[in-house]
Amino acid sequence: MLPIGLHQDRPMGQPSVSGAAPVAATKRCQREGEVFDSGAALRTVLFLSPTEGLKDLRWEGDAMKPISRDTIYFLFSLPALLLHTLLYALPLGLGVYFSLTNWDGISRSYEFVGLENYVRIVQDIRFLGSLRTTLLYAVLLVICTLGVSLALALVLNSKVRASTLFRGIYFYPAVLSMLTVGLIFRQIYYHLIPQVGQLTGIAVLQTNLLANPDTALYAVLFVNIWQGMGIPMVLFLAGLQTIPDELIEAATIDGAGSIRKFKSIVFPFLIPVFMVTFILTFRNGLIVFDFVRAMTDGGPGRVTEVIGLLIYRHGIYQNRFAYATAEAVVLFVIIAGMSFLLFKTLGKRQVGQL
Amino acid sequence: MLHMLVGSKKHKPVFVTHPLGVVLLVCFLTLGMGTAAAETVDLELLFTKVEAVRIMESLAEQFRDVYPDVSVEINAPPEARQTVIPTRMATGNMPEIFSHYPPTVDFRLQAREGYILDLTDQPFMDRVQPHIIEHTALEGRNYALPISLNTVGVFYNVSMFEEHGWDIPATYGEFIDLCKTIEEAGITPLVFTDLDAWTAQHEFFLLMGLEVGADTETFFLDVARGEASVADHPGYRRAAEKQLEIRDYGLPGSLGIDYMTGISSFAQGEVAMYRQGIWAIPSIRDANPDFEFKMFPFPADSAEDTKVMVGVDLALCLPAEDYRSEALDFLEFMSTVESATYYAERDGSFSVIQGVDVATPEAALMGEYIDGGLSFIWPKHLQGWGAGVPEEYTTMVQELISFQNIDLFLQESDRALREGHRE
Repeated sequence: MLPIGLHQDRPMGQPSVSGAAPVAATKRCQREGEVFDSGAALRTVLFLSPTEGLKDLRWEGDAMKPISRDTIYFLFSLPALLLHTLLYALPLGLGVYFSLTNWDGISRSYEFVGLENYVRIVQDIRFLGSLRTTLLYAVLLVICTLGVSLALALVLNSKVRASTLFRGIYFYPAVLSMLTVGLIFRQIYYHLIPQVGQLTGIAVLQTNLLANPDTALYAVLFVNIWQGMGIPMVLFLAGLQTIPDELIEAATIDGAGSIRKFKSIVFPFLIPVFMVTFILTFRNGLIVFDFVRAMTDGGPGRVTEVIGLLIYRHGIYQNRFAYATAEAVVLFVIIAGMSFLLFKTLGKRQVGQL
Repeated sequence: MLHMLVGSKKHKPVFVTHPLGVVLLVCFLTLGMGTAAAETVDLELLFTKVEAVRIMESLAEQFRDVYPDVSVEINAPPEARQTVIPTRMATGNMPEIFSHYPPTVDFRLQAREGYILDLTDQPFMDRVQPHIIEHTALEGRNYALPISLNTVGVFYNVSMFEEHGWDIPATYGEFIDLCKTIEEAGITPLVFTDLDAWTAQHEFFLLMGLEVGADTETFFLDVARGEASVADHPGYRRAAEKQLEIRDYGLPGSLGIDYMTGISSFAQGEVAMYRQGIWAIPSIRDANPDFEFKMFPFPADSAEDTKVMVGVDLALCLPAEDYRSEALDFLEFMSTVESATYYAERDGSFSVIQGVDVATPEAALMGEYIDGGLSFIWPKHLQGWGAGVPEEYTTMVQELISFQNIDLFLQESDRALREGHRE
């Protein structure tokens, strides 16, 4: 049976209906003494707009109070909240707990060592080097992904021919799994790219880019951009649709150039989307794992050893589970800090804020 | 609609009145009771050797002939030893049988924590060669049934060698000369699969074992304790130098070539030699069934010092908690001379079961060295090598090959051994 939210401002016992079906439903409720006829309610909801249907049906019975809309919203979000707590908040708490121990992941006992792991992390040159690599990767990823997807969105938003087809084509990589894409590109880099390099005569392409310590990181980055630009592009397109045409027309009449229009009109409307995609892409860059694992596994040497991979190595291969968890907590703090800073700086410049 | 099944005041339940409902009800009840068929016991064998899966599947079939109610299914995921086994131990979801490597550090840790069944008193353990039982014991107790040994050497293309009249080198100097001769004939001498860095790691251990020799027993323990540095022993640096030197004679771009590509390159005759372990024999045979190839030991600087590196290649274990007696039967079956012979013939490895007399043609020369006692065990099984240190070496060796910086490699070796050390 569906508990249905009600308007608070209608007094109890006074049905306010807008069509024949709801009238019949409520009348049947009153007649048979059943509390609710879910079939009628469903039909009502299907034929009317959702909020109309909700507004007009009643919960009959003397002792029933109207359930507030906020309660209903909370109940709807409860499953998601439970899942989030169970699958995210709880493991995070456990992780912080284990980072204060010396558990190796397999022993049946461990000791509490306090902040010893964190002290060692700060002195660990391998971790710091990996942090530098990861930050570089993340910054480049954000700049390139957002740049490319914004440019694509701007182009595909205008009236080019077959824009819908191209939107589909550019979005397509986003539905592929990262690991599969990585494995396929590994073969492409080994077999195909050197041949392309030979045909075109470009020297740098003639070697396996993944095997070259100077280019390996950028080769992985390229694949990440290729796969990751789909969703930001779609989000930017959606954001561009919210811009009222009148503003653009008014600006054109006033003689504003494209760049001015972009800076003053388009970009402020895009800031919410921009914030979300910036944070998501930056976070994806900081925790990248699938691509590196599939293509280089941290090599050659340590040039593509990103933090995600280091955490995995320390935790699984070297039986240093607690230490790896501490590294993960450090990463979490970095991501949280950056997100917070970003919201602070850009949040004020949104449309609708002053 | 519920009233169709349970009935209400107005309607009788459907299945009582409707003939089809009656038929369905009768069928459902009889099926639900079930036929008294013999229940097969399903055992999962978590297998760490991808190359030998088909051999194990045939052996499982033969086992089924003897024990018709027991079905053994082979599961060979990638990285089974490093990732799958510890994870399944930690989550309490252990397979009924699994393969492992008794001398390694993680095996010792897991056995000590009580995850692996003690097999010492099982009667079938008497079928294994006694010195192997000793070698794989942990504080006098055995937790695994060893089946075979492996070794690492240099595969060579027999027909190519005969055609050009090349000889097997007896010393390192002769090996380098041979590489130069092969190059002059217009053929690439070697292929190195450095993308799969574990192959380079094995190679380094081989070279290091040959150079550092008998000192390996105590030397690395001293380094791990911080009392020495790997730079103190000239042989260590020499091993690193050798590893870089032989790469001059390999296919270019070794950092992008993976293990399977290396196998097919060698099997298709693209290169003359392939430094690898004998575990690759089934895969090479698969890649080119008509291919004639053999293995010679990687030579030391002098012929007298040349030894082969051996380790346990396959050993089977049971979980300590809730183990199945049928799983013990399977281990007993694998320890019989017939099964061990069947396995050794197809896998090419050296059986440790007494009474097995298999001459793997490809590894015959290596067998002579082993029988003659000219062997040493993998250095990483020795004291001083903590958990995860061999994995660290995988990255370090790849770094050495990428940047050719031997001093950095020596520093990293010290650091890795020290960090991994737990008394």
